Amino acid sequence: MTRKRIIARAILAVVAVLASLTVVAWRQSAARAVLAELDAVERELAELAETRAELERAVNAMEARPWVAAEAGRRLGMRPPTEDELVITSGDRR
Amino acid sequence: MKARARERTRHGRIRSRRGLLLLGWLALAGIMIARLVEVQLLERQAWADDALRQHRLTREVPATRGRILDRNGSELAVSHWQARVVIAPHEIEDFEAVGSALETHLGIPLPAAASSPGAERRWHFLPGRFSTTEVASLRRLRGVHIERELQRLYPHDALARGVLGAVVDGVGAGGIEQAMDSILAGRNGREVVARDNEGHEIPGKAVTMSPPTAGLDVVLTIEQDLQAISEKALADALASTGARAGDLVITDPRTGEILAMTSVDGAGQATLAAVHTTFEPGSTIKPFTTAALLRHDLALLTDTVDTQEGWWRVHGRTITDVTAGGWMTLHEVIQESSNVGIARFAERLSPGQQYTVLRDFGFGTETGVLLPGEVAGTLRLPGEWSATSVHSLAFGYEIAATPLQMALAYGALANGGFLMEPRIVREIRDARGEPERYGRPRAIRQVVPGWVTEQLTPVLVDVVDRGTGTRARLSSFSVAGKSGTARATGSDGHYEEGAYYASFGAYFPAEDPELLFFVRLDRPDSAYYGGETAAPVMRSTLQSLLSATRIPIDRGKLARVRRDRPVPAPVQPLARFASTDLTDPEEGGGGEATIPRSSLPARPKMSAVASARPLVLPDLEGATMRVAMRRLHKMGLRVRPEGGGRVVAIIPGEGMEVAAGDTIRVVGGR
Repeated sequence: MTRKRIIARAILAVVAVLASLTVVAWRQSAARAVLAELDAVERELAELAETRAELERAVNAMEARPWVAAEAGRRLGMRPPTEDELVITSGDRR
Repeated sequence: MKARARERTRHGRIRSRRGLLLLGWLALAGIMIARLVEVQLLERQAWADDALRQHRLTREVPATRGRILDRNGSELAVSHWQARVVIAPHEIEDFEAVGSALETHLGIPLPAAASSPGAERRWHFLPGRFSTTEVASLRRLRGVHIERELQRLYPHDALARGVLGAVVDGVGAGGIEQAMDSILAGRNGREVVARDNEGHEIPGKAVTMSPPTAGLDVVLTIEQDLQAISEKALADALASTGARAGDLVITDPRTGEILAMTSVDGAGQATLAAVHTTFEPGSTIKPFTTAALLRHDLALLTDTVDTQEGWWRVHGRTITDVTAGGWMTLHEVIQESSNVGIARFAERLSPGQQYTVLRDFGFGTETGVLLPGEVAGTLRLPGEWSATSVHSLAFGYEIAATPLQMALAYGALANGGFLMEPRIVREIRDARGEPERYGRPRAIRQVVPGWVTEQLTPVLVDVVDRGTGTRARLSSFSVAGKSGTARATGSDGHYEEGAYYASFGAYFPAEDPELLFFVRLDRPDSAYYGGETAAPVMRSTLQSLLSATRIPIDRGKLARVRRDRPVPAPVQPLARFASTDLTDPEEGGGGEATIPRSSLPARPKMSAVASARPLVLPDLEGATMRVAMRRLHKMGLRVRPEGGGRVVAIIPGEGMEVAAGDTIRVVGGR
């Protein structure tokens, strides 16, 4: 084997090693970027679920008597009826 | 010759130098090999652990604390993620943009200490915690970091806070949060995350070692709407009477379930005083003395005693009434709350009988409610009694009880004599949300036979209809109740001059009770009689809850027990009372009075409820119904319209004096 051929093979081997290392590094950084993106999406999903829960809680609180009665009293002057103003119609039991 | 010898010497020196150098290299190699052996073999585990620590981070995954729900499943306490915002001034590139974003989304400016790159501190925590919605758009800002943490949230703010308690550093403190901490807390999990050479987390490389176990949901017997109604009624009462503090307990006497419980202290804060503070109940104890007399066949309701001129001297002590009753039946003694009368009747009881009945009603022992800090109250053994203890106990002195004990004891009167175990937790919900019953309603004992409570109920109805509790009266339904006024003690254990507890215990409907109320007001400074201050709290609560939709009462039964002919308010119901002065309980006072004779108006009054400023009904004849109703509403009156068109009459009539809150019938005709 001539000296030139030996050098060419050595260079080729170094290039092959470098190329494969580059490919591995590229693949890993790409995978990491995708994972980061996935993480962000998952976090966003969790936040949206939490936001939804917050809004549901707010709706429930605003539908509950403590809020409704206070607001109706403040805005519309509502007062609870006296017992002789009530008409009791149903026999349902809760 | 000489040259050869020199050459040999030089070679020898070189050889020895080589030898030394080799030796040096060998020593160095030896050291390196030794170190290699040390690191790779002997210290292998320690180095491996160190490397793992640098590249992996093991952290706790917080468990979500279980929710606390009301009996209908409405959330009273939940855990949710909240965010803390951390500013890193050294990382910020555009301070103006960060400041404007904070103003817009959080409503707070960028702190001055963090508004320049040369800020002293590397990290600056913004005060407060924010919802994930609020901080969502801040995430992309350089120099703004968001830290999420689980926080306890009470969606209705102050509602039932005394009962619920709080969570401090992840641990329940007070109320249900403390009592049920082991069930609510759950178990934190653990996960391992991989970190890069800069210590940043590598996304997607988290491994869960043990998943967190969420806490279980606790369903209370409390009803949210009823709790809100109670809290409002109590707050209104504190504002109108100037009382320092107050308690209101509502239970279902058939099951012992606590439907609402609220206590407010002097600073307006919710507490659990209904469970951990005691008071001398005063006249609200009289029904139990009567129950003891009836149970042991020592008196009939028609038996009479001479209450003389409203005072009676016994064993060197004078017991007084605010009434000058003369001969009264036991029924009248309760109805008019005569101390002399009940004390004279109580003499028929032996100390053992009196003690046993009071103890059996639950006085002097803890109720066992699932709330922290409950106290037992005081009921001394008969051996420790003085000669006048029998009399004092008969009208509620020398005994101390919590409002909850009083409520449960009244519950026994409403429930055929059965004392029920108090229940505050209804069920536990497992991880799948499946309910699991937590205990069952349980009767502790039957204190008195059913016929005793059957006889007592009409007496208590008369207390409300025409006795000392008329301010609790409903015109369409029967309420059984009893008021009480007792002197309050100061921090030194002695009675405070002019300080009283006003209380009222009642059940509704009297015919077949479903709701039990007990109200206590601490040192009301307007009027201080239980019938004047505590009874209206019960009435307003009852009126509000009748119109609420989720209250656990049988409306069919209400329709059946509704009075066909509404009972009119008694006119001058207590004109027989001579004085409103409450004499020193040390000398036996503590009776009830409402309107002093001297203050009764000359003109006829429609209601026994005296208003501070009497209202005179205007002439509304010929006005439209709408105009008439609006005008009466503005005066603070309630209106019951009958017919339509124009007003032909108002009842009770033009020029009549009425009190705010009275119901006026407006009759229309075409």
